[in-house]
Amino acid sequence: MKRRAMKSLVWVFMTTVLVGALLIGSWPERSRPSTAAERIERISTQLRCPTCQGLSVADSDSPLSRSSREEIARQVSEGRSDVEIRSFFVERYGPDALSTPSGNGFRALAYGLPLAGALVLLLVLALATRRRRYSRAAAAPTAADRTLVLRALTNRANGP
Amino acid sequence: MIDPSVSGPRPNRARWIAFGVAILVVALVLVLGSRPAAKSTGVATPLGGKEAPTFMGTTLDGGAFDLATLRGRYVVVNFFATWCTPCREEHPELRKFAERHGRADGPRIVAVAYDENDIGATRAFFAREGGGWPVVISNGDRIAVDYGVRGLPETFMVNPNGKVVAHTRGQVTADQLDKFMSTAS
Repeated sequence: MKRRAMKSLVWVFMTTVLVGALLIGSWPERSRPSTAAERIERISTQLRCPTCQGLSVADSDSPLSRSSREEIARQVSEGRSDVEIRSFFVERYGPDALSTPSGNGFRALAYGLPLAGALVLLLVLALATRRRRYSRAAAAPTAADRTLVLRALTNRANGP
Repeated sequence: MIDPSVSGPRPNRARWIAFGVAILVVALVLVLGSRPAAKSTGVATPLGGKEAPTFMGTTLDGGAFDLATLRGRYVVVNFFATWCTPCREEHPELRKFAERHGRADGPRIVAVAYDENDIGATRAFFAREGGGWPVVISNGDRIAVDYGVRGLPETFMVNPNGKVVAHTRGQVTADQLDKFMSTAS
């Protein structure tokens, strides 16, 4: 009983650590308002370079990326929000303009599939643990088994 | 000895799992296969059917250009640069289109020089190759971003109501432009 309680405590501790780490990791860093330069940098990294493979507007030095950075800077200075600036690019280049897929329609699969996979994995693990526990319980010798074994051993010791 | 009561249901379960996976695969193929394939010309643009971004700029001859002044007629907005070979190859087709539609109320072409550092080269190119349409030489980079341009040459057709009705990536021909106009009207 004490062992089972200890086991539960370990599970609770591990879950708390996992959830806590995920929460801290996904918590937006907003202790102070961003400067214009930080916003330009952040938005540039969130947009894909229209002419290159696997580079963001911030990383690329292609003419279009340079023009895009200038456009971001211009819109930041005009007081537009990050969402409005990102929408400006999505309206012109399509949803592919974003370096991270949007959570709508077919692109939501990018978020949904790993989550579904993790849930299935957890379910499989839970089922496997349960089955193992049952099989172990079934394999444990009963009092009758012990008596039988004891009797057989005694018979063997006494000889035929 | 194998106990049939234990080993019996397993193949059945495996069959169901295989069936489920097969359905998933078929569904995925259907979803992906039903998506429209990208075309080499007449590529869809997110601006399609929307108001064309208006722009102003200085032209090659020093004048001022404003897209809004062309409202009421078809406008071909062509992004180009003289260092871009397909742009140079496309030029006779644009000239042919302009010659075909020389009437006063006909469509107009406007070229936007993009990433062009040598304006002298642009001037020399038009003097040599002809083409009497306005060539916007200022704000080209900003206008390109406003139109969602990805490469050169790229052409947009704007209808008399100021909406983008067609878009091509790569060289465009006079016949294609005529087709776009007849389809849109």
